[in-house]
Amino acid sequence: MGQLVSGCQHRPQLHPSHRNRQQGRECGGDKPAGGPRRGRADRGSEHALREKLIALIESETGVANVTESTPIEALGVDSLDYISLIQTIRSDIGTVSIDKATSAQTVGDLMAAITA
Amino acid sequence: MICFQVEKFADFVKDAMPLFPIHYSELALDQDKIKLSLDLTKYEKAEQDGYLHVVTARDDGRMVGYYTGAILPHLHYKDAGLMASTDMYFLLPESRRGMTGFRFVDFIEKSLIARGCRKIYISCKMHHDLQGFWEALGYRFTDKMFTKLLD
Repeated sequence: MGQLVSGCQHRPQLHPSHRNRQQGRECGGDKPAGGPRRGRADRGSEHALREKLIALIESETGVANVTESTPIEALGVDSLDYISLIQTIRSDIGTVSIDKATSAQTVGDLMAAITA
Repeated sequence: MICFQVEKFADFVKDAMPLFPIHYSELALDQDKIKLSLDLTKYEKAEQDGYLHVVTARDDGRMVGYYTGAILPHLHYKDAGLMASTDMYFLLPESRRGMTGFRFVDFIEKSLIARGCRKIYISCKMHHDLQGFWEALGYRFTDKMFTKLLD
């Protein structure tokens, strides 16, 4: 029969800020060049990273009051939206482990997948 | 809670019937000329011949998605082992939140490996481009498919 129909995701209805950023960076600022790796970061910079990530997630998804314990499902994103979010994090914050990110249950898990 | 499982075609198709028109409506091309009409007899024959693979996604028993494919040696790589050619895959829009898509693909891959598959072929529509999704899961963008109505 060949491929009757394919696809398991609809085209994501991204938050307007995400659509905007595809034309130019709007969220989260620039990735710091040559900054310390997260494992060696002091508490202050780690806190700043968390704040930056949560601000980015809230901006990209339109969900308010995101915390580390917020379930990924509560962000209202499907898999394709989530990939877009990961790409934004890569662009604005740092490296993301796809294996860890795609098995994340909470925003805290997603944070653990990031190396700034 | 959405769970995934390998199923017999008969169990799958009776519960998937309501989903096929939704899937078709969302993704099929040339709908004015090519209507949805599953060849159930051929699917059943494919299962009897041992090469049909069916994976379902169920939410508390209710069918919310499926994957079907054919597991066969490739016609021009016959010594390379079994390969899965995807027939169709789908999740209801309301079941796509969070990690369901990733979990579904992970289960499909594991179920194919369990049947001895070493490669999977899968595509997506240009008007529902999933390239980022598939690449994030380690898939390579290797082919472009072209179609043409001949009547």
